[in-house]
Amino acid sequence: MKTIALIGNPNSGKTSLFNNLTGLLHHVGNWPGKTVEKKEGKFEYRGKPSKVIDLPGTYDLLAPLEEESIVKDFVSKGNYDILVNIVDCSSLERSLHLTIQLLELGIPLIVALNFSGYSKKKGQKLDSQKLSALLGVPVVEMEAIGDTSNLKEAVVNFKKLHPAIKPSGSARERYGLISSILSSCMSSGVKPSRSDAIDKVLLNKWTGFPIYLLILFMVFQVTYTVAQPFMDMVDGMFSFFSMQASQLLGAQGLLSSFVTEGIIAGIGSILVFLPTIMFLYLMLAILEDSGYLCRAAYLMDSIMSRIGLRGYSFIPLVLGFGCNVPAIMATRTIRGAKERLMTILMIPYMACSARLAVFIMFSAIFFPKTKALVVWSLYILGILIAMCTGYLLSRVLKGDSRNAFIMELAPYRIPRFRNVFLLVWDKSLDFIKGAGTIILSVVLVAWFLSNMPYGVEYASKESLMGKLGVLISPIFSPLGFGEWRAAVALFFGFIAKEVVIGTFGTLYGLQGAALGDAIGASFTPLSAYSFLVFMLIYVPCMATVAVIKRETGSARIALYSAMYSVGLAWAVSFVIYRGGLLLGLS
Amino acid sequence: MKLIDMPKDSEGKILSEYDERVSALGLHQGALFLVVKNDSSNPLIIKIKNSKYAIGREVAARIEVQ
Repeated sequence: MKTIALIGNPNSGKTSLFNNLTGLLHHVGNWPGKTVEKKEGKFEYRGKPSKVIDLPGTYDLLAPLEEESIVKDFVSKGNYDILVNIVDCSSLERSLHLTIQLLELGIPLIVALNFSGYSKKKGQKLDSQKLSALLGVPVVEMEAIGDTSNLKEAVVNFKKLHPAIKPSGSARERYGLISSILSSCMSSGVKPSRSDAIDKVLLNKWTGFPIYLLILFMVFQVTYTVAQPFMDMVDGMFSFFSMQASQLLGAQGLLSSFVTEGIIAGIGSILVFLPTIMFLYLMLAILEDSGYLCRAAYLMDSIMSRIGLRGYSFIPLVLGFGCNVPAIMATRTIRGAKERLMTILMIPYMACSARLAVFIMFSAIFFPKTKALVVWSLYILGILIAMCTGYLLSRVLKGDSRNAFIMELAPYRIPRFRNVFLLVWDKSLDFIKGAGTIILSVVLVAWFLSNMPYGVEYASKESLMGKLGVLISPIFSPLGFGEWRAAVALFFGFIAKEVVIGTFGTLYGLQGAALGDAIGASFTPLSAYSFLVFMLIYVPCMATVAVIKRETGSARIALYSAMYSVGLAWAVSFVIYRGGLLLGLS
Repeated sequence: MKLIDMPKDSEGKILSEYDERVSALGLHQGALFLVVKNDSSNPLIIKIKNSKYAIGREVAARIEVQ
């Protein structure tokens, strides 16, 4: 079996091609640096199987960033038969720089020209056969999301040629060579770009930032309002299940309690938020795939630079609204160790979708008329805390945080249904799997502890769960939520924020509106807001702590991040609750 | 003259390089470029070799152009 690896500049279409060849479903985004780890798959053509490896994008093999060093190591080890170099036709000259570097190394290479249809529309004419003759390697035209038979044919019939490219001393020499090659095989009558016209408005000094804020507001507004009817449907479905189970198993008894109060209440209370999560990811996927995310990073650069960061850091921070774990991994695209560490330690304050579920539930109970505003205020508070943390870190951490900012602004594209669908599907599955594994496990432990010792009233103060809650609740009393069930929910929330509502559901043995009523009786609006602030700031989940350890290579930093966030959560909630009381709020 | 001093819509040629990595993106000595946007606070936007880049002002302040 041949091993082929896909190599190319960031955002050149490698992952789209990988998905197309292998039938796998990896998410693709329209911003440079989406892929930070290599992935593997297989495909078969004319009965001949091939293994495919998708490498992270790289501009340069000689001065790589961290995620690009994976590519450099892979190329130098030579554990492959063919490298397929994906070349973006819309930026052919720049893309061929990497091609020339690969040819200088004498690597078995096929050049695959992607987006050739797009560049033809722009008036560019390229003679691929002549380019192949000049480079001395096979060159095929293809569309990464369309017909790839040319490429498969070239892979099956591949014979290593010996290109006459000699090692160059500098980028200038390579670009000189590229210029002379292209002058004899390409004619370009470049038409004005639609992206330029859009940028005139979206990156304008006066209109750019207000439009950016409006887009962010729209993302969250659409997420809540459109998702609401679907949430009601899911809620109704689980209420129906609970009623049916109760009728089937009888209202009393351990088994009935296990199924209705444990499993159905626990899973139902969290899956009700699946539509919201899906709409949030839908909006994020549209922003990513359209190419707007890197423009937003550009707009944020001058603000980020005030705390010693660059616009680069903005993309991982925004991705943190979806899930903190991949967002922390996305920091690999950031140049400079200090800048990267600062961004990693700021991401946990970006309110992820798991926390969103708790925000929505509590704001609907305690602030029904202003729920969107309350949730919005929590997002803003999270951003402010992240910025303050970044500012403090810029003062404390050693090293130069002002690294060179240079970022490609990829052309705008109409979001592709497949890409958007893949992200939403992938993240929804993650959420459902989470509900079915870790959340279910925690809920079952909570149900078990609520029933022990045997014979005790379910989820009473005398149960093991009640005793645990009573033990830790004094920590939270000064913050306004010393109620033992809230303490237990926060305790389990260390594992994952998704389990918080599930734990409430299990402890009350309720779900949906009935659970809302029970929670409504345990908090005041002020103490509920204080609870949400604590939820926002303290450790997002164990997976985030683990990925901080992995990405920084330091257990100490991961532990510091967790402890700092708990201390900060307590302090901010205290100020909000006590400050609110002083102002006469309740 | 530095790149940072180039006004919007002006074209020029790079005379000095910033570093190896930035050169690999096409901003090498002798490369022709077009300034798409240059205000007083945000990064510059330039077009070079059919690609569009946002370039930090501190980078632009160190690249000699003509």
